[in-house]
Amino acid sequence: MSQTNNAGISNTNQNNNRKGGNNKNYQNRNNQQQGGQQHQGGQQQGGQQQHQHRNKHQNQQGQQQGQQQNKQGRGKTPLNVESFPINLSQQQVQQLQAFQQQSQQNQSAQFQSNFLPPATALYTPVINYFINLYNNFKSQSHQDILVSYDSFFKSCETYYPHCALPTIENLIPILGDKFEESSFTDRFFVLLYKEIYYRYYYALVFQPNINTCVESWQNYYQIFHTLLSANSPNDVEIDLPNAWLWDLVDEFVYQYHTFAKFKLKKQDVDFLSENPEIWDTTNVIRYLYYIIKKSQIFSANTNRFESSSEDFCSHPVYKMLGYYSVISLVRVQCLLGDYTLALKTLELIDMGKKAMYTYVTACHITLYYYLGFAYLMSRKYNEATKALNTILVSVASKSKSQNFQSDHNEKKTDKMYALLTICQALYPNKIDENVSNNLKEKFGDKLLRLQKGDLTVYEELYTFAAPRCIGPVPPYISGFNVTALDPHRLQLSLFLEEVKQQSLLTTIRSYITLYSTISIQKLAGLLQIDPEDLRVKLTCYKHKLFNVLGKGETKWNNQLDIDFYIDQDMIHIDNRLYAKETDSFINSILKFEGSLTPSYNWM
Amino acid sequence: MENDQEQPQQEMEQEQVDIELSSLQGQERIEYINTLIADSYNIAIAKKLEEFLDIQINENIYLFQANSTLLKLYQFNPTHLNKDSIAKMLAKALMNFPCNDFLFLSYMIPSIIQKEEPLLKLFILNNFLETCKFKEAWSHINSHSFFSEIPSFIDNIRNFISGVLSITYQNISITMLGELLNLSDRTQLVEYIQSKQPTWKISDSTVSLQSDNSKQKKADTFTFDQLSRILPTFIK
Repeated sequence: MSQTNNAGISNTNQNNNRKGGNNKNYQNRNNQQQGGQQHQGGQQQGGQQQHQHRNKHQNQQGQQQGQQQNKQGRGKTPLNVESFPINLSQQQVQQLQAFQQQSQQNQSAQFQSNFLPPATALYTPVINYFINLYNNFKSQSHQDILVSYDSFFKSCETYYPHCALPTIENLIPILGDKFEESSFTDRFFVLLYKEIYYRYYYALVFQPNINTCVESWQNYYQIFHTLLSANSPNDVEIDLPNAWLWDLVDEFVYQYHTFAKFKLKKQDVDFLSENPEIWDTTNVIRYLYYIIKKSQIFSANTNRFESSSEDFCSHPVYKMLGYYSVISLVRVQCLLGDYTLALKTLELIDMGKKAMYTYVTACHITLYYYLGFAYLMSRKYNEATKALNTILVSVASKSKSQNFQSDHNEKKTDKMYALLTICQALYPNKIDENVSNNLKEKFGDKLLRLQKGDLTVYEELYTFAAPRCIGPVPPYISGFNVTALDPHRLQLSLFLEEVKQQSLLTTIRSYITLYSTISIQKLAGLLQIDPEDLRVKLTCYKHKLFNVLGKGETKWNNQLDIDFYIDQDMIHIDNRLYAKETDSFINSILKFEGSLTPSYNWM
Repeated sequence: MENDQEQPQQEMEQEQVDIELSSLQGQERIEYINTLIADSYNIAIAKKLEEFLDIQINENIYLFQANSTLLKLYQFNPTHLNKDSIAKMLAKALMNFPCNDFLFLSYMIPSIIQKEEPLLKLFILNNFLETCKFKEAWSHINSHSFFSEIPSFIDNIRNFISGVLSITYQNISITMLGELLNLSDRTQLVEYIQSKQPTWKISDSTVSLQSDNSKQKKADTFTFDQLSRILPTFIK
């Protein structure tokens, strides 16, 4: 990896030298292109660029490497595109040199995992996409912004596969006179671009260095404060597509999560003890709360004599930002292990079919992932199954759009299948046929082993599927040592404890399904355990089932399950599989009725 | 900006924290606690919540949300962590079995503290109750005075066990019932069974735990809901 990287950089340098471009040069070119056809121009460039991209792989790279990188979606920078060098600041030059030295000296990924070299050149397509993004942002049209937002990201992935994006200072000159420092919209655009810059940085490195984290935090601070300090929604002359708003909030929590998982160095700890507010849990939660409050999505229409346009919830940016903050808050609460609060927060959200969370697929998936997980940890396996089943049905029906998020969504989907597998093992329940087939394809062999009570498989699947829980305060403050406090391991061990308590229950279930009555003695003999132990296990079975169903529910509406009671020494089994005559009669009546009705109407 | 919003809020909170818990009663007190925990990240309310936890123990009332908020405050402010309070709230959670309160709390307690006293005995008891090893549970309770010192603790655990037995057994021998409920004295046991009437009935050496109504199989009965779905068909 590091070698390609190096080569990429030196190549681009050569390229730049050959062109001998300077700042003025690219400004000229831009002005030529700005005549109303940028969008088209951008697309053309995009096509061209893809073509070159492919050529490049065949010509200059080893076939194998090319294939591998193509798969990752991050090829090497195409070179046959006009580009202009960036005048790096003193600090950036140092960073770049340090980076080059490091990657030459040691091949270990250690250094690269927390640092990205600065971008050294601006490429024409990127410039065009950037201008497009800016113009559309000013036009405040959802659709156009979304298109240019997506294509800007795509062009960045092509041209800056192994380095940071150009900084906003590099890009502002491109906009020339159009950019006004004094305009609210333009200043906000700068903040948003910076957010994209850091998001890109976080996407490429495993653990960004602390300076980057601090800068990104400060940028979020600015964004939130700009929005929170507005006196009237009319002052905020911006509009953003839902996908962008979701990415913004989602990334905020993602970066918080990344930061909380850090293994801090001594100097980082020193720095943080002086700046405790940076990525602090309470602050993160507080910002989410403030946005929700400001957005008024849950408090509007109460004491209103003022015109409704004065409500912040009438402003789409505030409304959706507030809404997404609720979902992100649920995520934070789950990460901290507070599942009751998470489920309580979720009650705020209308879970109807046309609910707002369906606007953005990533949001839809995230919400249901944490909902399913919270239910699983609350031992409400049937609720977890329901939630996971719903979202997986909906994911399967959606056409697979290829954007830079689809990778991420796919990973989440796999995780949800794993969670569903666990639920199915602990509490078998009816799920959609399609989902069931997919599940068997992905985790069929695992499910069998889970049903046999194989703890290692439970651990494996849980570790794969569960979010990595974190503590609200870093160890250097709490004073606990890291291993003692590892919240993730705590969740895992409590989960496995529950699985252990459930052991044998699945076996018992499979045996008693075969009988309508059986004596305790006989069943104990079959299971080769002590009759007294069996009594305890049977009582436990009932207790756990009650746990799953919850207090309110007394009905046994699970078709796959069986009910039993003990009469002194005999077990009486009420097998639901065969005891559904009433329902099946009623359903057949309705079915036949349904197939008859259309002919009436036709007459 | 932040100051604008926070200042009046903090003043209000200060006023709230200053109210004496002992001056409030019943519903009024619950409402007060509810307003306190609405601002769940303010460590200043921890003292009040600890106080309220003692009240919950002494007066045999229960508010899970208050206790979980207190635990959360410990989680966010580890220097304030008070193991005895955690032990108390866990005991209250056990008294509320079969709800999963104990589980929810344990997700937020560092595992190292879980393995030490004063919490260890609670986690052991939790495990016995979760796996329905009631005999072991009773001997564990009897060997720790901590449990019997909490008003109504033993009664609540016994009620939980009765509940599980009721959904499991239709009839059970009276000696076995006595063992599982830790009522070895016959008169005490009979008294307890009588308190559960009319659901529980003694007949000779066995006790019937399920009322006659629930014995009837649901399979051969209609509910009106089911019937109403097909009624339109018949009307045509």
